[in-house]
Amino acid sequence: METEHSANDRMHRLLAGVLDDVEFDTDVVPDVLAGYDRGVKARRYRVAGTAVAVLAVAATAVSVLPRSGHGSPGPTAPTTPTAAKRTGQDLDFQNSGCHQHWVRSYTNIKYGDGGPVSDHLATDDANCRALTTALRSVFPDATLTPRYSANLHLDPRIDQEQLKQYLSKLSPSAAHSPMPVFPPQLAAESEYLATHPEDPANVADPSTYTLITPAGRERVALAYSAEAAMPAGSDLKCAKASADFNASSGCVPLGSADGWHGALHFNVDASPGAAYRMEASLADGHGHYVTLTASGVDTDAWRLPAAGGTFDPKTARWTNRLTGQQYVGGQPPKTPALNAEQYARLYNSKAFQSFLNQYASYQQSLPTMQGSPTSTPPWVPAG
Amino acid sequence: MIGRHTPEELADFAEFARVRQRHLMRTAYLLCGDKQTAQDLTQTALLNLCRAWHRARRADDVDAYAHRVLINAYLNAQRKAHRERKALWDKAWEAGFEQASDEGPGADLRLSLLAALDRLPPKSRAVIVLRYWEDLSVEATAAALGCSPGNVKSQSSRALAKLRALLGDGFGTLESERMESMETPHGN
Repeated sequence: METEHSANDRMHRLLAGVLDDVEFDTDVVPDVLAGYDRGVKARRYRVAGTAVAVLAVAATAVSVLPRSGHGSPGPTAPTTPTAAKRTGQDLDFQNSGCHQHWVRSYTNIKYGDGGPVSDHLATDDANCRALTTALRSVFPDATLTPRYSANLHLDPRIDQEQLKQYLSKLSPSAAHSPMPVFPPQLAAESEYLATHPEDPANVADPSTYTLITPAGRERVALAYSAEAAMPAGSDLKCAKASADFNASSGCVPLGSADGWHGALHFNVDASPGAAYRMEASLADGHGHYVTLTASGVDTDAWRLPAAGGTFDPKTARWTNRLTGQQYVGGQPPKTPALNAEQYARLYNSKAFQSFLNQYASYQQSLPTMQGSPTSTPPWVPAG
Repeated sequence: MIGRHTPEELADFAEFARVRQRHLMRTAYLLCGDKQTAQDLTQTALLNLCRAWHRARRADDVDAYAHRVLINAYLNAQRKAHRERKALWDKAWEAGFEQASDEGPGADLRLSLLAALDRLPPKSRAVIVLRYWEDLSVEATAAALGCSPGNVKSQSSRALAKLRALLGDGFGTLESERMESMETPHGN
């Protein structure tokens, strides 16, 4: 063994010698976080034509809406559902429950999880409707609404020059971030967009929804990956299988080997500050892998006041925009829409397994990467 | 997964990334042999790690998880660019030898080792980097690459033999190569 170790050491020294003259002083973390930020919030702009249409709507609105100019935008007349149709897509957002506008912000970027939207709004909408149908086949009272994020660059009520100056002071990467943290002086605008999801400055994330049932409201998310690309497949199995849904934590096997199968891992301690986990991993045995996560929290309703990018979990004061309730702490109170047994029932249902087949096909049909995620977004209006 | 990290989780990830990014870049450099590509590879790996941070932070060894993500990013990139890189480095290999011959034995071996590493298949190169740079055991290397320990041993043996054939006496004989080719139960 001694000889082997010394040989290993020599090989290690040889490899270390290769690195002798190579210095890595670049900090890639800001770009990583900016890339994640884009992936989370800003990847929903459709083809350039739609983006132009949205910008055209914004440009029209500029002429009739007060511009912030001095940092605080004035109140504006709420955008009506009719206005939402002006993107050129004949979809009734208010009635369908699916997406008003899925607009791809970066036409040349591939996202490892979830993928970009397709080139056809109808295709994206069909996927959303299929998910809703599968859900309602098991829980007829459930409602699914897309989750929105505000894109400040598309907001005609904001002085874009001032916004640029503000962002450039935050960090170089923030200047190109489509969904930056709201400046404190734009708190009113932040609140307006949060309460008006139909506003064109709000864009939807097709992989994230708010699930609403009589029991509660929570954010749910789904993501697709080729099974081979997953770092580990261990989540598909329960290390210690348990079917006791009454326990606060556990794991339940899902599906069967001839269809979508995997495991639902849960840790549903609802006490304040406790970690919450409700995550299902499913594979179909043909290279497709889907994860579905429920957060236990209604992140769409709970709002933090604009704080210029700072966040102190001990003093953060959350306000529920729907009920007016306030809460101080790192995360708002949990209000799960479904429990572990119900999620397992949903994932095991024939309707949901059919949806997963459709979802995998949908994901595979999405465009792939052509460019760099650090490039300047082409749609950002020039002031 | 997209869209589910809390601010605390993002801060947790950012702290990990800041501390470990330099080491990941060095490993990436040994994998790809180019500084800019190593930085890009690290950035891609960290972005993937960020997206899977829920899963990663639950892992027994987050560093090992990060290595798996980096190796996956490397192998994925290699599959796409294999033909182009091979043609490019066939030329660089010859040029590297000519240039290195004027820089003394140390520099010669460094450049040659880098060029020789590039002559290895991507997976074999990953085995060498994980085993001898990261000092991972055979079992840990197998877990990172998603293959069997026996496959790691055979890949390692072939890779070291090829390195020795390419580099000649300057590389020397590695006893570990002999030992790993034997059916010993231990990996390190």
